[in-house]
Amino acid sequence: MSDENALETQDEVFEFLKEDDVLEVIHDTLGEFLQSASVEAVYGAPIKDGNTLIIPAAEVLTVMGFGVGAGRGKGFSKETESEEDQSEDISEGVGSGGGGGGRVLSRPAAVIISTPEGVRVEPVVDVTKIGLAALTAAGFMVGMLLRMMNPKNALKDI
Amino acid sequence: MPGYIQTETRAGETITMGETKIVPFSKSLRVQIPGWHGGLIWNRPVSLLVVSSDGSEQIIPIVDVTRQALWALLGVSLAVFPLMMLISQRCNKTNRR
Repeated sequence: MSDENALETQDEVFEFLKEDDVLEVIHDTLGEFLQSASVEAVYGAPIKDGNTLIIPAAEVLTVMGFGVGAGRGKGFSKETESEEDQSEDISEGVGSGGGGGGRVLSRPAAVIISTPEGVRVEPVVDVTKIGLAALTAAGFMVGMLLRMMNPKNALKDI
Repeated sequence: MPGYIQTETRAGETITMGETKIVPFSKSLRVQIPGWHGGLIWNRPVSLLVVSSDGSEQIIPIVDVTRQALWALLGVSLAVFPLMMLISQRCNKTNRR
C-alpha cells in the first residue's frame, strides 16, 4: 500500500464513507443523540383523565462516542515478470469501519398536574437514590475519620 | 462559555387543557470534547408557563428535589472533610501529650 492512497484528513474519510452505509448509520445515530436535547425528551405525553391532565417530566442524560475509519490500497496480485503484466495484475482494495457506544440515563423529576382549580407541580423524590448516596457519604466520612484518628496515620505538625 | 460547552433553554409545544394553556421549558447542557466524536447531553425540565383563562400568566418552576438532595449531600461531605482533618489533628496532639 502506498502513502498516496491513505485517507488522512477527516474530510477525505467522510468523502470516502459517503459511498458506504456507514455515514448513514452515523447520521441516524447522531440524530437520535441530538433528539435527547429536545423538550419532548424531557416531558412525556400528557395523560388526560376527566378534568385532570398529568404530564410526567424527567431528567435525561445521554453520553455517546464513536469513531470511524477508512482506507484503500493497491497491490500486485501475483509476481510478474514484465511491466506490461504488472499493469494488468494490479488489484485495488477498500475498507471502512466504525464503532461506538453510549448510554441514556433517565430519571423522573416531577409530575405536572393540571386541574380546573389550577396547575401544580409535584416533585418525584427518589428516596432510594438519596439513601444510597447518604450511606456512601457517611461510610466514606466514618472511614476517613477512623483512619485519621489512628496515630499511625497522624498528620505531621507544620 | 467555550464553544464545546453549550446551554440552551427551549420551549415545548403548548398543551391546552380547557381554557388553560401550559408551555413547558427545558434546559439542556451539551458538552463536546474537541477531537472526540460524540458528547454528552444533560437535559432537564426547568419551568412551566401557565396562561389562565383570564389571560394571567404564571411561571411555575420545576424543582428536582432528588438532585438538590444529592448536591446537598456532596456539599456536606466536602465541608465535613476539612473539619474531620482538624479534629483528627487535635486528637493526635492530645494523645501525644
